Amino acid sequence: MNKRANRVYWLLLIMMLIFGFSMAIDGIRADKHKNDQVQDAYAQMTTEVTTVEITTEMSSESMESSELTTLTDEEAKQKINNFYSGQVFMGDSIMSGFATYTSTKEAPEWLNNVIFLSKVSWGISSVLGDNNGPMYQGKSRNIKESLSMINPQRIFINLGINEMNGLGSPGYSIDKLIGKYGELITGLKEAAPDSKIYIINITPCTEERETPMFSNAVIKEFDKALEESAKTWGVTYLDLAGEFGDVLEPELSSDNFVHHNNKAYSEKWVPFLEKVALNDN
Amino acid sequence: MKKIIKLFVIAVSLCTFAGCNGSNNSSNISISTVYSGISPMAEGTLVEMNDNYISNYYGIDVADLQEYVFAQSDDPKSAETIIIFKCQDGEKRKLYVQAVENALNQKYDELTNYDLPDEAKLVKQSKIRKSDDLVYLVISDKSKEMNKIIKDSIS
Repeated sequence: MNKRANRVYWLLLIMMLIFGFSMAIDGIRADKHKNDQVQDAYAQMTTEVTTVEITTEMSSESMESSELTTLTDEEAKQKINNFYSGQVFMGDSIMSGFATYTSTKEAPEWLNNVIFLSKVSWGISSVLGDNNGPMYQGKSRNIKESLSMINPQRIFINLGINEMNGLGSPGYSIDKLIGKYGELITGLKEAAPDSKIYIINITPCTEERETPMFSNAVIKEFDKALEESAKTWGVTYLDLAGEFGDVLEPELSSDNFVHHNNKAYSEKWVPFLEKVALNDN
Repeated sequence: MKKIIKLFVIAVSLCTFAGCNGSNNSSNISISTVYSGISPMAEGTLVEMNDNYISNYYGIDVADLQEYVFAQSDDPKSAETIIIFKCQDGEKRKLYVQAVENALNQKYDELTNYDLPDEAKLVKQSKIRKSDDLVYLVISDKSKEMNKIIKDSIS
């Protein structure tokens, strides 16, 4: 029995030795592998750093050269951005389309900082009394409430086409509509006394959709009356319609009627508004 | 010995089931993947709105959202909209759901006043849906199919 126990003891001892030995070899192998991995990672890191350094050098060179040639452009960009940053654009569906355009890839960066208070179907006569006005900060609010929250330096307005065309808002004569516009300006001045107001005139419709009641001649007549009234109201009149010419070309319209597409926003609205900012003293 | 083997088998089964449950949680879903799956079904061109617009319009700070997409038609006379967002903060999620509901009401108001009854009807039929920390709204002719895809992606 003793002899048997002795054998078991030796057998266990040998097994433990073999186990310990194999563990030691595994440990050495693992260390070696770890070292190899660290070395590989280090080699990879240094390659990456070299690549980054080369890229950075190339970028700074191209930046420097572009800065030298486009310094005036950069200043212009800054001026446009400062002019529109945090300012309000008010309007109807045409303005809502412009608001959506700002999220497209073609839109310039300065449009990101504009605040849009627009509502499809909105009209000159419905703005002040509309307690379900455009959404601002998660709630549909009266324009006066939104303006007092924002306190903008500048307010840009593009309204009136719905009333002229009798859609969505009541159809008014030009004189009555101008009178209503005057009331709107008074109300906005009360709500935002420190804001400078700019009125963007009504842009043309496509020739195909003109009617005796709603034509480009009527729009022009309204715009002329608006320009005259702007002087008495003490606001700045902006002739965006002039950029479009006598009629709205179908290729600039999303509905072959009065609404604008991204081409119109990119090629007409943006350059026009940039000019307005750059000409501001 | 048999007892030990039985216990081992039960433990392994429990672990496996727990693992399956975990992988079904909505927090593992990529919203951009779901959106890229359903957006081609839209009738018009959808524009993914930028952070500034989402903040000004909905009052939502996108920093509070784990993932999101706020897309709407580039045509203001179209109601087509897809909103999916994931927000873990329950209180903020409630506020943001309210903001989307307000936007939904306004869209209905706008399209009704503009004499676009079919578009207004689409808005009226749409519903804000919630699942765990996920909130989604689809306004579209294909909303039934799109909502099903979103729901199936979650479950």
